[in-house]
Amino acid sequence: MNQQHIVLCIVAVALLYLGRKGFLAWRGIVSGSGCGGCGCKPVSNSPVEKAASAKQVE
Amino acid sequence: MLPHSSDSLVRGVKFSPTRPARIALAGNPNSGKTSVFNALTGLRYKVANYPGVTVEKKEGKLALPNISHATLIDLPGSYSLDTYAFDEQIATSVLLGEFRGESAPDLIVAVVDSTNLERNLFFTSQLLDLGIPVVIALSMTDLAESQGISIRTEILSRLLGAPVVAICAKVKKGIESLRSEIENSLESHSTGVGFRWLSAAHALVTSVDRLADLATLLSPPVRHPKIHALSILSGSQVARSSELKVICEEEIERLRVLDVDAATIEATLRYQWIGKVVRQSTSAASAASRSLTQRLDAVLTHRVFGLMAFAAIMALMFQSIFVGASLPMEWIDMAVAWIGASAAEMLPEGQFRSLVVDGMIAGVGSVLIFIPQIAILFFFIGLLEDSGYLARAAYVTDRVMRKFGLQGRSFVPLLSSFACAIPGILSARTIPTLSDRFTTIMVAPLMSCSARLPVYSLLIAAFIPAYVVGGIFSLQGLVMLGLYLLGVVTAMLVASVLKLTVLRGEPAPFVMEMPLFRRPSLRVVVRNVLDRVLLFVQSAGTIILACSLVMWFLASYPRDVNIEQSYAGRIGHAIEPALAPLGLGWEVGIGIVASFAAREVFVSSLATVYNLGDDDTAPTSLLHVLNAQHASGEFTLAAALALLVFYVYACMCMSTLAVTRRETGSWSWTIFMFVYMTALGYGAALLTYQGALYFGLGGNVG
Repeated sequence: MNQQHIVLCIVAVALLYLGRKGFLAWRGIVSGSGCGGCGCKPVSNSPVEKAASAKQVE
Repeated sequence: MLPHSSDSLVRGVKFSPTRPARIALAGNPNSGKTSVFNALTGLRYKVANYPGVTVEKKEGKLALPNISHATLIDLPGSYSLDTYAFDEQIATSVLLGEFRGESAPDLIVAVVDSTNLERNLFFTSQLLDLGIPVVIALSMTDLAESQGISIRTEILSRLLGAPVVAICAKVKKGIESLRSEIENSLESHSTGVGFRWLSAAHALVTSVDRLADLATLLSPPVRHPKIHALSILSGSQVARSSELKVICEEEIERLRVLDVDAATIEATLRYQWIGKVVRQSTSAASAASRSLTQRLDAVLTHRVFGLMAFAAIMALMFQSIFVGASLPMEWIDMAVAWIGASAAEMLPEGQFRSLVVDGMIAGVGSVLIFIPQIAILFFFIGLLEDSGYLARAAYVTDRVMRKFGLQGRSFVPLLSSFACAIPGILSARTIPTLSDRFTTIMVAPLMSCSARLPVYSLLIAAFIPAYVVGGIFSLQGLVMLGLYLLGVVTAMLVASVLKLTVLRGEPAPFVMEMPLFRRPSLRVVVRNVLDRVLLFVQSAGTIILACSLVMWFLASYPRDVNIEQSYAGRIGHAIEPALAPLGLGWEVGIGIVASFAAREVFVSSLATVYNLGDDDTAPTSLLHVLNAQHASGEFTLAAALALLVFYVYACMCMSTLAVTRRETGSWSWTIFMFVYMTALGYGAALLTYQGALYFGLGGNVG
């Protein structure tokens, strides 16, 4: 395995990590769960809170 | 018959050790619930000396000696079970067992602020009526003692019919007693006697009993018939059957004949009873501390001096960010350069060395340099939060915000957004009116969050000369303050446009509790700073590191070509036509595109691109590169100002969009936020650049 293989492996891992983050953020937006993939847990995923939030919007 | 008929004897489910116990922490806003939660669970949720810090339900494991599984639930603060704001609705629904999929808690720990006993006991008296065992935690006993307030807990316990434990969560005093009292109450399932406050009003007792008897026949059944009866009598809820409605009207009329106002009688009777409880259990308070608060309030909430004090505090904060952080930033810069040079010496020449030195060390190091500024910003915010000043700032800014259709209640969400827009948007739950809440959510990301700080600091340090203005102010600090103010002023203008168009509605009256001023706890402030710094370092070690590695790859491949022909160079050149009117080159374009992952990535991306572009093996300071470009006229002051303005406005945070979608429940508002902010960013940057050129700032000034 030469240097090029090593750096490409490292970059691939970084890309996978960013892809996962991006996917989580996108899923958070689409599903309305509020998880932006930022590592925190901003709101509970409880269905009741979601229902309460929807009610508030109505 | 009331008052001795505790509904819980019929309704309550006795706690069984075979299932996990659920314990709710409830109380008025700013009574210290989260401090008690942290002390009991060992968790570290944010605490501050102003109302509305907790806006969601939080759970943690509570260790009890004889009960294997117990969950402690920290609820948003509430003044009453009859609530309107979204955060308070969450608290009420959990306490009434109406939170879908969840039963009522097995026990309630009512956190009561000792310095404000009478007002806090109103909500507690409602909790005592729920027929759930209640343990009362008398919080802030240190402050009460300093004010000369002495509460006889045994008398208070007897009068309320529930165990009372005096605590001071900050120093963990009384926490173990509270823990054992929780366990005793869970095991004995002692619900005490509810509705004691009602004993003196026979007329109301009859009305409540009559309505409650009828309410028990409703389908689906009412969980708390007497509470439902009181709610429909006072008019805060609508009767659920026509028969109940007729009887309710009869009872209201019967009470009216007896000169009893059904709408206010509950509050009146509760306060009469509470007054008696407080008189019997508490000795008179000295006025010393209150008068200190009053003296400070005379200035800090004054119509003119209050605003001046607020402006002075903000100016001091931003000056300190520049002046105080300069030396430690230099140390970090030197350390990063040393690590980079050492790595370059140790590693053999090749792609791996370039990846480590130009990608990892240059990228991550260029962001870590801003740790001192982040620490100073949050140190100041922590001092303001813990001293009780923020509630005053909300009060003085209410007058200004009202002119733009917002209200003082929007202040805390907007201020929280200076740290990060996500907690800011969540804090908007404390705003009861929907139009005000949505307006606040839409403008919250315009507040400059801490992720923008590295971008601002880098560009200001590189392009704004370190002049002293007026003998005391640093020009760099003033520009930084100006950028923050630009976000605030724009937020006000956008809010007023929204309120005049799609989110019409009068702002609701603003009522906010003014906490007593207290000396900030250094432990709380330092912990807050450490939390934020660790979060920043964590972000540098994860997302910024990953972005730096990917950026290194994009700027290094295909191999053996000039950086301008690399993948990154091609992307930069592809978007160059859009950036040319702003005076920005392709390297900056790459940084802007990358910063949609996180704003700080702009800095690390530039560092990687510039380091790959130079011939040095050791990393070169990004600040020095920008200084050189400024001096040569390659990167002008006008372009730097345009870039700063773009970063003030542009919406580049996926997490903010995710939480906006969650809180508004709407795609339209989420898309609207992204489009208006990004369009505003580009438009304002264009105007800034062209304006700066017009005023002759296009050259190398400084």
